[in-house]
Amino acid sequence: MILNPDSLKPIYIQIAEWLELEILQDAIKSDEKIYSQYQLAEMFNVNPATAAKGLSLLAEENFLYKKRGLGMFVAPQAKERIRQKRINENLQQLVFEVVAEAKRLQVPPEELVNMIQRATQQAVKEE
Amino acid sequence: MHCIESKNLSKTFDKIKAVHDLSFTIEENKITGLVGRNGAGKTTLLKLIAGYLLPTTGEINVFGRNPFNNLQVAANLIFIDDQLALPENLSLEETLAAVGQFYPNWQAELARALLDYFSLQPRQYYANLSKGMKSSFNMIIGIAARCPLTIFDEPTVGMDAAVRKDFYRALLKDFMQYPRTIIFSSHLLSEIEELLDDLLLIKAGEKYLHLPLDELRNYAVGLTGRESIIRKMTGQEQVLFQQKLGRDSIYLVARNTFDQQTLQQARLQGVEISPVATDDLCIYLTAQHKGGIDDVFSRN
Amino acid sequence: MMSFHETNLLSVTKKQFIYKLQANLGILISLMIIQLLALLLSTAGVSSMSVGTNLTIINLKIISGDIIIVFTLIWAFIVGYNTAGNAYRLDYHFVTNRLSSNLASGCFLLLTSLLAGITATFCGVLLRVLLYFWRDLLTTKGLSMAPALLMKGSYVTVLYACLLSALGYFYGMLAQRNKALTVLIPVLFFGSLFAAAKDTRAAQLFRQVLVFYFSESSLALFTLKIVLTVALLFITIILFTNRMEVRK
Repeated sequence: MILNPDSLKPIYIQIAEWLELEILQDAIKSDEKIYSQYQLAEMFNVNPATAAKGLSLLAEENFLYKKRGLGMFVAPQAKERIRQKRINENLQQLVFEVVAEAKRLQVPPEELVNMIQRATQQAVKEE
Repeated sequence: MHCIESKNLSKTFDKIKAVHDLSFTIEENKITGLVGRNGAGKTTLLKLIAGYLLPTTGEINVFGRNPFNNLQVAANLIFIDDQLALPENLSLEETLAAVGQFYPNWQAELARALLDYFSLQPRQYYANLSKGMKSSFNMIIGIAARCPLTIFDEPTVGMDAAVRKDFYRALLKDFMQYPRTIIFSSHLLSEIEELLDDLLLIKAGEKYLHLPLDELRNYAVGLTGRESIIRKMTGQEQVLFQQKLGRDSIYLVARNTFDQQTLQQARLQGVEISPVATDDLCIYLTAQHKGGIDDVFSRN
Repeated sequence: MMSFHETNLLSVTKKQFIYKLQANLGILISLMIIQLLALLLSTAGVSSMSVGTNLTIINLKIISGDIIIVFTLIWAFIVGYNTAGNAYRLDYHFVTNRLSSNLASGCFLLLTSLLAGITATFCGVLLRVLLYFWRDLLTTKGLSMAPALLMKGSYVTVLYACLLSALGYFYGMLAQRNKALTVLIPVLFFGSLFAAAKDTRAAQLFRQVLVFYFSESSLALFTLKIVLTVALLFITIILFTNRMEVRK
């Protein structure tokens, strides 16, 4: 993945979010070792201190735990907790923005709901 | 530990203050970007750190010592810029060998491999290289020397974008193997920002900002929308840049001291909130006029 | 983790000396060219005079190796001057301070003076050999030379080369510090030469200086004079450059 330099989000948060995505998509499962700060720094071409900050962000939220001398591991139930967090924060935020845009365009709520349902059906079909 | 400590450092050339009352510290084993406009005093500052120049007033300490004419400091730093003068009678490989003997951590194999990667012929002569290739060769010396303090002053002059990218990556990889204090001055902040720990921004010889790069990204926001709404939410002191768009719209860059709620509110009122590229931000921060070049023309 | 590396003056000076040698190998070629040129000029004779009547003309030619020595000393001066310029231009990119740079330059000039002095003497020998085979000689005064005399000749030439290259280095360093001095010093020098032609006080002083260096008959005293002068020049330069800013 390439980081988005135009995002308001600091690089370390973008790295943390990418790691969350890896966990959500089962690329790294519970109690498996996650990438080290140096691996991340190489992957994203960023300063290792920045990568470390991304990791410690996840550790603070207890999505990761440290094993002395071995590195960071994915916490049990991390996946489910990340899912909950992202629903409450990201998805909620996106919904607000969609609603605001609908309001600007004078789209009535019913039509907005319809649009969402249609989009959902399409996404299911593509899978 | 501090690698560099500067206290009220000033340097005057013929009554012109190149560096003025600069105080800062640079931590050991961090990569710091030095940014500023042309003539802001970047090179003068770096030469004071390297011990080439004498401060007019104030103090500079490198590894806890005064760097001027100091052999111990000189043995632990390397200064790479595009003014590097090398013996004309030596080929590139001979030059690497001759230079390498000065540095206890010199990586002869790495230097040779980089030479090869960047298509520099070992038998070539430095004087016959193009500007970009000279820069490449200088950077190879800077990386291979593995000095505890490595200073790059505009090292990528003349390099094409692909070579620059490779070099940033080479620098990062070598930095991870051998952490050291690196100062990197460049006009191309957007290219190097991801490598950096900290940013030191100077304006007219004075320190303007010194902060971790992550904070710079959050330092300001761009607001686009109805002028009346945006004016209401920003104080005059926050404004870094403004540009009128259409009849009553405006693009305004402001210091990001807003809380999430204010931003959310603004978004719902149709204000578009965008990040400000660090390059642009530095331009706004170091500008003399808030309207930029437009100010000159709007007066006439 | 990268740790601070302690170094010392001696090891840095040594490295710098080697670096200077590598960077300046070309000057050895210039020495050979200069001496060959001087050799060729010498075979033509340094001075000649003709005496005679309507019937006979005697051409008297004096041939000596002095030109070789003079050329070599001029070369030594130029090398000194260039070494100062190169030191200022090249040294400060890598590990150096002002003292180590001057010391390394001093070692370098000592080496070039040694080479110049010895080769100049041998060129003198070569000149004699050439003359022996090529020319009809009226007199062969000084054609053969005792080894002891040869050694002494070399030794003196080396010392003169040291003096001249130290002077060149001194002048070169002054010039680096202040461009106006590049003009001022030659003006003063040649001015005093002209003044020396007249019989003024300054002229007397100037002549005394020349006598002091060039008419010393005791080898030990001569050595002492040169060594002290060279040391004085270098100490002055070291003090003078100690606060010098570089790479402006």
